Amino acid sequence: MTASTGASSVRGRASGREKGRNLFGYTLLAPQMIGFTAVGVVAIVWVIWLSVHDVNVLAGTQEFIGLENYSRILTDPSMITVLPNTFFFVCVLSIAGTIIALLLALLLDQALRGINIFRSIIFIPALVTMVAWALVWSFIVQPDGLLDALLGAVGIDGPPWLRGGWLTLVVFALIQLTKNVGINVMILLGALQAVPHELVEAGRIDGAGPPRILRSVVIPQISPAILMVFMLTVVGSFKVFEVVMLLTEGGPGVQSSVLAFEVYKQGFLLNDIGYASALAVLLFVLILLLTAAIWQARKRVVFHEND
Amino acid sequence: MRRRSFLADVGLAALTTGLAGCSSGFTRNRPEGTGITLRMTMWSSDPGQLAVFDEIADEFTADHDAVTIIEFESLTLDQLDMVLTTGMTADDAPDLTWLPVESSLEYMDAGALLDARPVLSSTAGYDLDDLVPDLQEPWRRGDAQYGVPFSTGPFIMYFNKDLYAEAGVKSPAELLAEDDWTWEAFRQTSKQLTEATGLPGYVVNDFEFQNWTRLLPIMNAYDASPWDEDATRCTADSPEMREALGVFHTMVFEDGSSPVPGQQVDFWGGQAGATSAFLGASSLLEGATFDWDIVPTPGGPAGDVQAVGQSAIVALAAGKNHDAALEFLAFLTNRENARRISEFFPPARESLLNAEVLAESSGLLTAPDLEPIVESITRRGRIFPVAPNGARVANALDSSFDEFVYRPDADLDEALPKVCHAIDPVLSA
Repeated sequence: MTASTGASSVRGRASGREKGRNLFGYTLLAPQMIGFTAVGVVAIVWVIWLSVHDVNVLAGTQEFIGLENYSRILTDPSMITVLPNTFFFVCVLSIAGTIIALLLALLLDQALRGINIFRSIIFIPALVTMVAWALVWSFIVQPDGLLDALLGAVGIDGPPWLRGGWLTLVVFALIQLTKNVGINVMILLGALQAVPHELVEAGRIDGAGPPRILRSVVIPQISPAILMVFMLTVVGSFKVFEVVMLLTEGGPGVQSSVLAFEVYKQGFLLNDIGYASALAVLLFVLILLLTAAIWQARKRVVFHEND
Repeated sequence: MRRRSFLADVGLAALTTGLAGCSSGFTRNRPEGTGITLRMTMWSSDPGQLAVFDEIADEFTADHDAVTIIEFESLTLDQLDMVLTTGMTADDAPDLTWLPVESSLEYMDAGALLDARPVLSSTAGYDLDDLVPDLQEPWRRGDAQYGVPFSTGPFIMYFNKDLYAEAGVKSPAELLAEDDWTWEAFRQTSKQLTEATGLPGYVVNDFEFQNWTRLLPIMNAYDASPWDEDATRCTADSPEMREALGVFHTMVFEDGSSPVPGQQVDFWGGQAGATSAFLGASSLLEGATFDWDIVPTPGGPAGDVQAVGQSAIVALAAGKNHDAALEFLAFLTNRENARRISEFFPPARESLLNAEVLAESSGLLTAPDLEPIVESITRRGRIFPVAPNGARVANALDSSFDEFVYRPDADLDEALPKVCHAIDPVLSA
């Protein structure tokens, strides 16, 4: 009886302490949640509301038009180019970006003298802003720029890199990829260095060669980090914007435009806030759906996720 | 414990600094008091021009107790629409702004501008009749006047005399003297200059293949316009436009005498033979390391029609201080202040629109230099064509020119109908 009373009073103290700890935790979270609610949730709801209105900013009028802005997306001829361009970046940047980051991380995970210099070189672009990075690249790929000069030195006439078509999209993907690969490499490098040595050692004793160890030991161990990098690049590649704006403004026509840039163009350059909001909602839904699909797929591809 | 209190101190200090930083970031730096603060946006950051506007603002606030401060916010012309519409949406629109004539109809149709006529008429000594009526037309509707032009100027051809001398090619001034100053003759001499020097003969200033109005000197010389007089039907596929753009296309993609899209060339730094730009750009030649001169832009089959750009100062309906804004507008554009502003921008006042007055205020250009410019404004000028749906039409036109016309392999007979296909729906919207 005494023992039981003692146990319940210990439980009571523990639960009180737990409540206090939870309260402390929520208090720490509060600024972030308030900020997210004010800037995120309110903005999302407002954009959805604007997307069902015809907004004339100059006249200060808003007229409810239902789903007209959404049906306009289906008939807008520029979407035939803009949406495939957007998905091109999503596919290339997420798949190639993750594979290249993984290969570089494996390469840099060596105990060699001076390896930190190479790690720094890969990481440096991540430290500059995307705007600065795009401007540097504009000097490289403009007509008679650095790239044309290098090609000219070996007798090759450089093509017009920024005049639309697949070439411009590839240039944009390269600019975006080189900018962000450093962060992804660091995430994966951190995961690689956390792989328990005894597991690798055990594999080696069992007679596995390096490729087999990589496939059966290392990759499963770092799979959560790979998934995170993949998800970050998927979300990031939907938001390719600065490079489009600074290098081609989406042109010629809309040949190098993407959804994020069209939102900006319609809203801020053409004063069509309603249509821009509908495009923004579409972008939001696409990111949400893809992220949810990847999150669901994690159970199959990520080690221990089924446990 | 000591460590914890140290961390807490650091945290508190960081928080205080952060809040102090935020507080200055979230509030405008204005003195205490109940006076009115007027805000005006403009697309100039030239120190000389800003100084003149600041002086005028100081004189206005000295005479008007209610207005304590006038802020000028500098931006670039391509940011203007975005800044104004964002400000309107956020209920933080400026009270006044410079506005290009291309936007006049769109803003007036939307009711975004205040009628300045009652204030201008009742301001003592304003002399409303001195405003040249033809040049006010884009801003007038019935008896209402929605803006007062402060800059009405044609494109001028600036050329690098040293480069022409070096190339041994007839300069624009010589072609003009020989009465052979046409776009076709200019194309030939530009090509010769490029062949001799390796530098572009002609670069369109402030164009970058994204601003169709910069091609109006060529279009006007061939009597071409992207739309008809009512701005309801596309005429970009007319034979006149075909000829006009044919000359430009040849210079860029066949002769190599004008930069291709994306290529950066700076006339003001001595990297090109000639450029067409507004009078205000002459300040870029201060301290130029080469000898230069100006002439009107070349003529063509339609004669010597000069493309005249115009900008006005307008008071916005979304601003918060209507009366004070209109009073300041009247003060800024009265005869005395219009004369001061004419140092940089050709005025739209009869009494000031002569070469002597302009030369007196301009340090760089002489009266004989300016005579043809004044003539262009008053007799041979054609103000930019305006469409009601300005921003969308301009975007559709720039975008379709870029996609179909500014290509090395473009066949203009096929490309120009595609341009019309792109802008017709926007024109008729």
